[in-house]
Amino acid sequence: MSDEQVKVDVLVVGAGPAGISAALCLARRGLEVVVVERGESAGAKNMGGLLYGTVLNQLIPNFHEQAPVERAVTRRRIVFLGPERQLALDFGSEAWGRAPFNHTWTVHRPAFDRWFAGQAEAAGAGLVEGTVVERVLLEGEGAARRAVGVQLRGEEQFRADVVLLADGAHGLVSQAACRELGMAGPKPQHFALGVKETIGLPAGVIEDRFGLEPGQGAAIDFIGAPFENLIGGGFIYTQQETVSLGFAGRLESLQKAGLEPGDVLERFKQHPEVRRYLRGGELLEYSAHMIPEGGIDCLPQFAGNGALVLGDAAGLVNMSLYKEGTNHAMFSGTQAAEAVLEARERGDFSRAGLASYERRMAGSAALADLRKYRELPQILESTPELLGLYPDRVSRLLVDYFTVTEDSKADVQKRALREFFQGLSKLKLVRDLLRARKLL
Amino acid sequence: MSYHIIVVVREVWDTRDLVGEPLGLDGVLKPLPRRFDPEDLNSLEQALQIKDREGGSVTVLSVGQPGEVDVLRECLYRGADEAFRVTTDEDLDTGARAALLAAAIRRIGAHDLVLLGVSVPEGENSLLAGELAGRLGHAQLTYVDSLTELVPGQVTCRREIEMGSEFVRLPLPAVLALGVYLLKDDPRTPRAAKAMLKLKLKKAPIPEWSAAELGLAGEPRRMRLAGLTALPQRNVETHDVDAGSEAALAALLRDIR
Amino acid sequence: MTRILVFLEHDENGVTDLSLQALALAGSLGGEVEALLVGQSLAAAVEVALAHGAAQVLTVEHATLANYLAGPVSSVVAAVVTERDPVLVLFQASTVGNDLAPLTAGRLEAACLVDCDGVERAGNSWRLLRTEFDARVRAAYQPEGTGPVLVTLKDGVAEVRATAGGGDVIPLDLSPAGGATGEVLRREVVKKTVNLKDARVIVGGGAGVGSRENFALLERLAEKLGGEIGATRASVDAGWVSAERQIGQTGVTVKPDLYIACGISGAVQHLVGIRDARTVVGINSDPSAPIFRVSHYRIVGDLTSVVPKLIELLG
Ligand SMILES: Cc1cc2nc3c(=O)[nH]c(=O)nc-3n(C[C@H](O)[C@H](O)[C@H](O)COP(=O)(O)OP(=O)(O)OC[C@H]3O[C@@H](n4cnc5c(N)ncnc54)[C@H](O)[C@@H]3O)c2cc1C
Ligand SMILES: Cc1cc2nc3c(=O)[nH]c(=O)nc-3n(C[C@H](O)[C@H](O)[C@H](O)COP(=O)(O)OP(=O)(O)OC[C@H]3O[C@@H](n4cnc5c(N)ncnc54)[C@H](O)[C@@H]3O)c2cc1C
Ligand SMILES: Nc1ncnc2c1ncn2[C@@H]1O[C@H](COP(=O)(O)O)[C@@H](O)[C@H]1O
Repeated sequence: MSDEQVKVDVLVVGAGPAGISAALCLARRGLEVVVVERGESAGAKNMGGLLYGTVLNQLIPNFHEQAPVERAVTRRRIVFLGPERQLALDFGSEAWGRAPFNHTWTVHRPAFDRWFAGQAEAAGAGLVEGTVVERVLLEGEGAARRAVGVQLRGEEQFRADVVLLADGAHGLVSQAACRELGMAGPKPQHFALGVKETIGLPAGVIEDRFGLEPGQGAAIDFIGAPFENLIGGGFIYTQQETVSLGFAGRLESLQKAGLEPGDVLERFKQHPEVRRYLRGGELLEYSAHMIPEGGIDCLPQFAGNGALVLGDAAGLVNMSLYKEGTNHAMFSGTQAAEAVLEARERGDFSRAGLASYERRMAGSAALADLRKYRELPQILESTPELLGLYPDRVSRLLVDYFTVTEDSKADVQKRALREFFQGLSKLKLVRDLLRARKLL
Repeated sequence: MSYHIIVVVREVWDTRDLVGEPLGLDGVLKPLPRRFDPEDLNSLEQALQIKDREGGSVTVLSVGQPGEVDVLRECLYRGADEAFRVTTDEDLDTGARAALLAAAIRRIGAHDLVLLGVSVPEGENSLLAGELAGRLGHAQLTYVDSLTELVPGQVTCRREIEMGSEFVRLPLPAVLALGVYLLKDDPRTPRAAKAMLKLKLKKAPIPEWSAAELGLAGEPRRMRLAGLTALPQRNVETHDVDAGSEAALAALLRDIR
Repeated sequence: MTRILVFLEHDENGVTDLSLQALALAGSLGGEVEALLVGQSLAAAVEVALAHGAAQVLTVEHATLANYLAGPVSSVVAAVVTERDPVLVLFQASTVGNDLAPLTAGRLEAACLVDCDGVERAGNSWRLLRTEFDARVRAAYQPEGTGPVLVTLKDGVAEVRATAGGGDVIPLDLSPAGGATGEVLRREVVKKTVNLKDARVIVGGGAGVGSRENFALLERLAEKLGGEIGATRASVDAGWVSAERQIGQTGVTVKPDLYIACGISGAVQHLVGIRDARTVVGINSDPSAPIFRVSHYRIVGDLTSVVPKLIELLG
């Protein structure tokens, strides 16, 4: 490395799960790789709830023994909310409390990302934090146009054989580079806004309130009331001594309904079903982040001349109830690394030379998942009842059923069913339920 | 001619966004984030500019363990040549810090200038600079706005005083406390850290000295913080006045006259 | 008998007001009050000191001390402290006192605290009070161990009190420590012609005013309101107004009924000077300017259009 010009094998933009996975793999194989991260430390501004750890477990076997994971998720719950009612589906397994813990963890992303970045550094990757990548440096014209490095804010440039674009959702650097290198997807990506608060509570209180064994965690998804008019839903996850809660809602639906994210969050927090979990807690953190939710139809071309796009920057998020992004990001990182190694062997970093990344991704479970949920965005868009009316009705069915009155049970039950179907077209209901199946 | 400059730097509470909320008085300022003392960044920039222009070297020195920001490493990322940390585990008063710094500076050896900042959060003063200069037996100047001339053996500074400023020439070595007030697009604006230096120096060892290693047995505490009370904050109820409306402005004038 | 030594600052206008406040405070603490005057041609200052409660006035006259410079003056003060052995030494929280006290303390390895706004007796020792963190807390400090305690005092610590004069004058035969100490090449200070401290209405202008011509607008507004012009350091440095109108940390502290801040961002160093303004009107084009945090009236707009309108409305 000369004093004035840094030239390395691989440059990674963004120290999220995608970029770090790639850097870790490449550094282990002896490549000179540098990750540039704009946050003061890796993960400083990142958020996210659950970490599905299958890929990470391959990268670092039994990672949970050393990583700052918060709790293994042993209880999950899906809750349909009415204005002041709920119907919950609660499930879990003792087995999830044992290795491999169903590969589902809650993590505090700033701490987790910092640890993960540390693993890459220990393997020999360079990590430059608090430094913004302005754009990808390009050379050549037309089909030969290729990425050769990055321009940093200020005067410095770093050069490399390959640039890995892992700058996350709505990453401006990757967006511009994809345009320039002809990697843009067939349809523009669209986004959900994720908003989250972290509330401090003693571990014992969390375990009592959520019905957990020490060290075990819960993940709850909410559909309905506070989010009617919104394409999205809420969540609560338990960490060691904090609870995070928030929601993700499609940006356009927020704008169309004229909703302020802060107000929606406030209403969610005030819901009786949510409020009681948070009582006495101390607000520690508020954050907001984009999530790409266009699915399979909005994916870019993964490889270009001298560049690969990874993780959220590539739109690799499964926005079904699984909300899986981190694992896919890590997977894309490992595959990008393999592709770079192959390209290096052939000395060809053109799109063709890097194409094995596209092939690897195409055959992956990650893409199979996205294919499975292809219609999700469109179904939610065209059937607003799925997130508004139906959860409300569902939440009242059993409540009405068990409401004690002087009337005969037969009357009560008849009334409950009448209330449930009130104003619903049976035909539409059946059709909508069939469509909803595709969301599961 | 080249100069060896020592810059004394620290981390401070970031009180910029502290509006209205009371401080947690038992944890004092604990909930606040910390940052590189902005005055010290100005001093560092001053030193680096002298080095860029005249040659020489810049050594940075701090007392205490790094907290949220490792100010010494941040200095290295901006181009300081050497960094030393004096480790202590107690919260020291200014006199004790001055004693440690004086010993460390003697250990570092020959130098022309020692630069400090005038502290901001607690008030505008520069207790440490004086106490340090007194112990080192160096010439001293505080409220220094700029160094107008530096030649072998002497420095001339512009110093802020009531109702204006004065120009003072001092023999070297001298201790200067800088209260640089940055104008718009000021050439004295601190430079950003360099990515290349971050890459190179992230793991560079920073030598640490304990009081014992500096030959000090422990300075007696001369000043103890004996209590903190919150002061009632002036609660300003702000009324918006529409700048474009004559009626609103007229009403304002009626209110305030 | 405890002895309190008060270092007196003086300029062509005589002993400073802050120095006389320090003398008054020393008198209220009980004990023998000695004043120290350092410089040249001190006769008039000596009279003032004696008329304000000094039981003894110590003088050190020397040609090289005519212009204040920390090094030589502090060598003299340190020698006086060593010789007279006071328990408390009071300075002023000015660019002289806050410079001199720490340096002297460093030489003597004595306890020191600057910017105090109160000193109380606490048993055998002192309780030193200081307002900190942008006037959010009042901190109390307790000096420990033996030896003199050096303190600088902020404006307002005591009422200046004239007393029946008649103490002793003790000229001390001391000269500044030898060796190279430096020199004051020149001073650029303005003569004080306005009294902002007592102004009821002040129109303050900052960097946002943009030019000397625009400053004339503020002058007209001030005139209409029967007030004075004040300024930030930015506009003083830009040369639009004279330094005597600078408000804040290194300027004056004001307490008008009405302060109109035009094109002022609201830096801490400025705000400390207007803390006691009764009503603050902020005019700034940036809706998030910190000045609005302390403004009773918030006008988001360009001052070059707002101020003329105000002038017009005032007729
Ligand atoms: C509210 C919310 C809930 C979520 N819940 C889940 C969940 O339950 N399970 C799950 O698996 N996933 C979840 N996700 C998604 C998950 O967080 C992401 O999929 C994952 O973080 C993607 O990783 P990444 O590395 O691609 O991008 P990121 O983690 O976003 O990392 C990108 C990095 O690039 C940096 N960067 C950006 N621009 C630049 C630049 N110009 N220069 C330098 N650096 C730059 C950023 O600072 C950032 O550190 C959730 C997301 C949100 C917002
Ligand atoms: C040791 C030290 C001592 C200091 N002492 C003092 C002191 O005693 N007094 C003091 O004032 N400062 C002092 N300072 C400086 C202080 O830190 C600030 O830099 C200074 O107060 C800023 O002045 P300003 O508000 O005029 O300028 P800026 O901070 O530049 O603010 C200008 C404002 O004008 C607004 N503006 C611009 N154009 C327009 C327009 N057309 N219409 C309306 N608004 C407009 C802008 O939005 C901005 O908010 C000191 C600094 C140091 C380091
Ligand atoms: N612990 C410390 N380590 C290094 N420098 C310090 C330390 N504390 C104060 N300083 C320096 O002294 C200046 C003024 O501090 P003080 O007089 O303590 O308010 C700061 O701007 C720093 O340059």
